[in-house]
Amino acid sequence: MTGRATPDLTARVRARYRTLHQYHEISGVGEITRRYFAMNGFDGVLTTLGVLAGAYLGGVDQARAVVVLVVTTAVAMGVSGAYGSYMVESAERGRALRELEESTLTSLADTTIGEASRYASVVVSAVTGGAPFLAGIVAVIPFLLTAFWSVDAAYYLAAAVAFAELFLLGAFLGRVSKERIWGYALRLVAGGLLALALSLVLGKGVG
Amino acid sequence: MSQIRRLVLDVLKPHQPTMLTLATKLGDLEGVHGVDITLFEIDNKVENIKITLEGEDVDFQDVSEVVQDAGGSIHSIDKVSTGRRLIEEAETPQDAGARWMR
Repeated sequence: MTGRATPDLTARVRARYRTLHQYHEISGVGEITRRYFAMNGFDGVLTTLGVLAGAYLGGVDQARAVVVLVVTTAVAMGVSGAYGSYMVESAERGRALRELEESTLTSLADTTIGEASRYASVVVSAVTGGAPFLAGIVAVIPFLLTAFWSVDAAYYLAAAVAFAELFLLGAFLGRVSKERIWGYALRLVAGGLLALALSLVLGKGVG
Repeated sequence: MSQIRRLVLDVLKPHQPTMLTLATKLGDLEGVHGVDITLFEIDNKVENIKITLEGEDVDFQDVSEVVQDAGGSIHSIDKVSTGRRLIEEAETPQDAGARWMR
């Protein structure tokens, strides 16, 4: 029975992949998701750096407290990104579909193009919410491993992880634009340094 | 009841999914041996196409579902051929007059 189920499952998975690939092509969602991934990932990393700077200057020396701060911020960014972009994307695609229906004189809601529109809204919202959430979660990992180092060291490691994320995001952008990776990577890292420096200066000024 | 051997449809569809996808899906239908899609008119939102299907048993309902799923609408059935043998339209003397008018 297991032997008979496997080919059916493989065929179903392949068919599903082909369908989703078709929706991807029809909706042209690739370009938008790349843009939102980079933009919101950048926002997520810089917000996380700001939270870390605030926690450091505020004298938070409990790893658990820092984790809670960063995770709750990451969740808020994720929900904000996902929810907001789903509403916006659904509205825009719904409008485009209705305009097309004026030309075809039929309802397109239950057609491939209607399903592709809904697919696009879900994918865009997942990327828009997922990018800043992941950026925050990854940066806070050093605070989960304070059995191996001090909380102070975790702050520096978390900042290093955040800058590594910025570098990788920049490399991604460089690849997308088919330009030199280093240019974009260093520019994003510079943006992160500026945000961190301003946070630290302002934080010290307030404190 | 005799089966449909050839079907010619006038269809209006959006650009996506493309004619390639539509032709592939129609070609996969049971009873369809061949599909031809010709573009007649196009604007920035929709395209007017002629779909010709031939086979041993072309199911109009199946064809209609595939076209509708692709966002298309069948404006008219321009030609249908049924029976055990495919035949062409017979020439009559009246056709000469009509051709002159065209």
